[in-house]
Formats: sequence, C-alpha cells, structure tokens
Amino acid sequence: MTSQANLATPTLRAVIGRIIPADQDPGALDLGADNYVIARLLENEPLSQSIQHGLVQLDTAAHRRFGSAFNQLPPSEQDKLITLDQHTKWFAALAELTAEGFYADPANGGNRDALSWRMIGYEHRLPDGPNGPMPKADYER
Amino acid sequence: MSADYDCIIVGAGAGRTIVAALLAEAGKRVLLVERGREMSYARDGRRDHLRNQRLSSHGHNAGPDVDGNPRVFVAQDGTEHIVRPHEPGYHNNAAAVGSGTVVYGAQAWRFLPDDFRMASRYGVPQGSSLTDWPIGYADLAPFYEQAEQQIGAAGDSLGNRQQGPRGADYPMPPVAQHHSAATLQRGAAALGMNSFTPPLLINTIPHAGRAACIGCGSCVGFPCPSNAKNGTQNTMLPRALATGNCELLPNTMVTSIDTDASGKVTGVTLLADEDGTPQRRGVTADAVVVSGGAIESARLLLLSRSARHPDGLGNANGQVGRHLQGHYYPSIYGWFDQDVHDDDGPGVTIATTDFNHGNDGIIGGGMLADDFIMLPAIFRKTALPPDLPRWGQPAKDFMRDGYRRVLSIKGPVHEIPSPDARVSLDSRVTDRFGLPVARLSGTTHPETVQTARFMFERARDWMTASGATRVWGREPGLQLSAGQHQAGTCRMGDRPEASVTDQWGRVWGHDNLFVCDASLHPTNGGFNPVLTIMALAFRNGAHLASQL
Repeated sequence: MTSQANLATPTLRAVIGRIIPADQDPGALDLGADNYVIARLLENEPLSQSIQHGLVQLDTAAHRRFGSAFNQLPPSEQDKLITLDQHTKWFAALAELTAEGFYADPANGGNRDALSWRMIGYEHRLPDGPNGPMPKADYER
Repeated sequence: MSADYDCIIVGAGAGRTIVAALLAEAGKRVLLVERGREMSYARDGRRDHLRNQRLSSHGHNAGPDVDGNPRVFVAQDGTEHIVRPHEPGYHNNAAAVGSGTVVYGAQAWRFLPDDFRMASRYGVPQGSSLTDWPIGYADLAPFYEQAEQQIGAAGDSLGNRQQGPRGADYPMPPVAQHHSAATLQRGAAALGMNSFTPPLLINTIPHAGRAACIGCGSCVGFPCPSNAKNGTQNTMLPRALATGNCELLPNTMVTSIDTDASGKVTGVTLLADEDGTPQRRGVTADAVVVSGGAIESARLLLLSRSARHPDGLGNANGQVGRHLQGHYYPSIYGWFDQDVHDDDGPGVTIATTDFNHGNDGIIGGGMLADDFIMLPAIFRKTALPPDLPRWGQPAKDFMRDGYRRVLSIKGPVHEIPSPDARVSLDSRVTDRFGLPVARLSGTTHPETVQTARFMFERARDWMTASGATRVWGREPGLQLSAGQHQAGTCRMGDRPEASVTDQWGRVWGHDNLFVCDASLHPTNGGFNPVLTIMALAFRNGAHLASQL
C-alpha cells in the first residue's frame, strides 16, 4: 500500500506546482492543493500507483534530457517535459485532482481561505461562510 | 380483519408526498415509507463542492449510501460495470425525505399541449416506442395550477407564448434577471426568438411563512439556506403530518409488495436497518402506491415475484422497466469579451420554448435556458474549451478571466423512447440486503440524437447572436439517458398490452396497486419534469382519495 511518505515527493509537488502555477495570484502549492491530492490518492491505490509510476518516468526524462531532477529544473523546462506527458492518463488524472482541490470549497483542503474563488470572482453568498453549516470536526478532516 | 393502513406509499419524493397529504387530509390512514433520511440545511447543508448531487466526484450528500447499493450498468459494447451511487452510469436520484426536491434547482415547467401527443403529431419512428399520453394538457392543467399554487412557483405568467391555457397567474413574481439575461436577451431579439424568465419553485418574496431566496447560487445539489426553495419536504409533508393521519417512516426499505393467494395486493414488507441489524416486518393496507423513481419503482415491481406473478407485479406483458428515458442536455458555452456573469442565484433567468415543436424534419425539440450558477469546480470540469490544456498558465488564465465571461445555454430534449432502454433485475449482483439490484441497459432511440443535435445548433445560434466571440460544446452522441429526470418505466396507457398502468396510475390487473412518479410518463417532455410529476400526483391523489 502507498503511504503518505511514498506519495509526498518533491517531484509530485513540483508537478502540482506547474499544473496551477503561482503568478500574481496563488498557485496550487500556495493553497494546499498538494495535500488535497495526496489525501485522494491515499484512497485510490490503482491511481496512486499509476501516478507514482508516471512521476518516476518524468524524473528519468528530466535527468536524460536536462541532466537534473525534475524538481530542480526551471519552470520552462519543467513545462516542456510535462507537455510531452500531458495526454497520458496519469497526468490528466493528476491535473484533474489538483484543480478539484484548488477550486473546491476550502474544507476540502486545497483552497485555503477560498483564495481561488477571490481570483476568479466567485462569491458563495452563504450566511455561514464558504462551506455552509458544518460541524468543526469536518473542518479538521 | 382490517388492514394496518388505508394506504402505504413507498418513497417520499416529489409525487408521493403530495398523494400522502391529499389522502391524509381526506381522513385516510397513511404510511409513508422512505429508504433515505430526513435532510435539513442545518445538518446537511455543508457545501462540499465535490460530494453533492450535482457533482459527485468522490461521493454525494443525498442517499443512497455509497456502499451497499450498487447497480449494474451495461455499456453499448456489452460490457457490464458494477457502479456505486455517485459514479457515472448509476443514474442516481436522491434518496431522502423529499427526494430530489430537497436538492433540485426547482424549475417549474408545464409540458406543452403537443408534448402529450407526440405520436399523433410526429408518427412513430421505426424501433421507437413513441406514444401519446392517455390524457391531454387540458386534463392536467387544473392540477398544474394546484402544484404552482400549493408548492409555490414564481414566474412570468404571460412570458411563454407556446404554453397551453392557464387559469391563474403564478403566485409569486419571477426571479430578477441579471447581467447574463440582458446579454442573451439581445441575442434572442436579434433572432426574433421569444424569451422570458423561467418559472421556479422558489420564493422570490416571503411566502407561506418562509423567507425569500437569498441568492446563494448553490441550489442544485444542496438544501436551501433560507428554506426558500419549495420542495415537498417543506410544503406537502408538513401538511400530511399535521393531520395526524400520516406516519413517516424514513431509513426504511420496502423489499416487496405482498399479495395473497388470489393475487390481491395486501401490503408491503419493510426492512429497517437499526443498529446494523436488519429488521423485517410486514404491514398491510387497502392500497399501495409505488413512488420510488423510475428505476427503483420498476425494480420493486420486478422484485415482487410470486408463483402467481413469476415476472413481477404488473409485468404480465413484459412492459415493466422498459422505455427508460431522461433528458439529453445539449450544452453550448460562449466567451464574451466583457464580464457577462454575476453570481446572484439561482442563476437560470432566461429561456425560450420556440424550439419545443415545429422544427422542420425533427421530432419534437426542447426548451433552452441559461444555467444555474456554476460552482467553480463544476465550471472547471465542464466549461473549458476542448482544446484548452487542463494545466499550466493557459488553464489558470482561462479560469481567472473566464469565470465571469463565459455563459452557457442548455436544455432538456424531449426524448424519443426505445423499449430496449430498460431496467431489469441483475441475476448476480445484490444490494446490502441480498436483493437483486437494478440493471440498466440499452440506449435512447437514435431519433433523440437527431433532435439533440438540432437543439445543440439552436443553442449555438443563440449564443453567437448574443455576441459571444468564441463558442464551443460537445456534440451529443447515442447513450442511455435517465439520471435525475428518469422516467417512463411504468408507462400509463389505454391498453394493458402496451402499458403498465391506466391513466390514474392503477397497475393493470390490480385494483389497489398504483404507481405515482415519473415512471408513468409515456414521454418526458422537453422540460424539467418535476411540475408534471407533481401535477399528476395532485390529479391521481385526489382520484385515489375518492376511491378508498
């Protein structure tokens, strides 16, 4: 079984950081979307395996083409490598999970302080806050 | 010996709660059984954008439970998939007290007069089971009015030029139109289309002792924060319970409809799951009303097998479970070079019914409208152009710049049913109680795809005429259609050979067994079906009250 430590690699975080990059607004890593992705992967062993396999190959390609680990490369070279993999199943699934965490409600753990909503201009208009009424235990999930 | 109840109603959703109220108010002793639980905003209002009835990527918020309630979905290539309630292919409808009406968007459409006579107007395409309803618009019109008045609808009474005659205005004014409606209104005007504010079962002003809508924009998928969305759980159910004649039994499955040696329906068998130990017991009644939604109602009739009814109740002619249908939703997205969207809920503010009928070479058609407010995660999953990368700066830029600049036009297509789209019992897979699960197979008739493609183009025309500088969407293809608008599996008709019930929902061959939900719809209109489900319940419930 995959553990948190197996998953939370510098390569995974670097790729998530390029899926939604930081610019004038926060990126995926700034809002915790990497933690959201890891939580989902811990629930889905087959997907977890496939993404870990993809990441290993991505890192191998980084060494072969640029002579460095993926997470050490400048963003432009990271993007070149990702572009080669962008239509693979593992990468498409990782991009989807990252976006889920980043654009979902803050209680899902990947959209700290609902900052992605501020970026796009979405207002929840709920009397109780962005997650609606919820017991405290749920926040800490 | 006298029965435990005058009537047992299986399922507590849109139609059946109305029947419960009408019977209880007529002094009948009613048992209302619902396999789901009661939901409230305070307890169940959590806005989990990834686990709700609208977007169920990792679970959902209304029942049935993700575990222990599978179905089998048969794909077009013949492969079988065991699916859980939140997964694609399951075609879930909320299992809760009030069912879908707790978590719906509450569009309150009357079908048009020609929606009740599709076969007469268009003929019957080969291989389809297109048919007329056994009743017409005029038969249902007074009951549409009861639904609008008693559940509580808000709308523009004169706006829809295609509508049939109506007796009374909507009890509340329509929702306010915003930025997006003004934009789309310009396009409609340029094309000479009639457009208007669609009717909703939402309090636009304080009504019936409850508040007005606060505009949160997350109606679909969630209970309402101000209790302004009118479902059956906050209108007809309190009426039923106030009589003292109606007993509500949530968290309880009905596992079979029971018959005596002569074949007469005597009651049902209940299965409650208290403390993890299933408790089974029988209850008797003079009449039973089945209202579990088109998939579970058919399943229950099929599960109620006996020596006398080896293929299930009402199924002597093999009709139960056939003609499963829902709605295709051709959807178009358009990019505007300025902000056109604001997130005042509910969001649906402009519609046209100009293309429901009278389209050259096309059978039927459908209503088109703008969409409910799309939550950001839904926007990200559905509204991006197909050629846009789903990662990197372009995807982020699109979300940041596009959320307020993209509009959507979509609408339900009146389906041309096929007898091969059906619910049957799976021979191997069972639920947590060991009962065979629903097996969904077949597709709609190919004519539905023709109509859906036609509507896709009309949506594209409207979006373009409104000033969108880029327009995209996914062209409809052949598939099984059911989902939250599921219908047709116990169709009513004039002849037992070609239907399951008569025009009152009475199952052929059984004087005291009734169906009351969208299973009855011979065809499902080019509209959200809930007001029609409600109107039929007002009509058939009053009839049943006079018979018991």
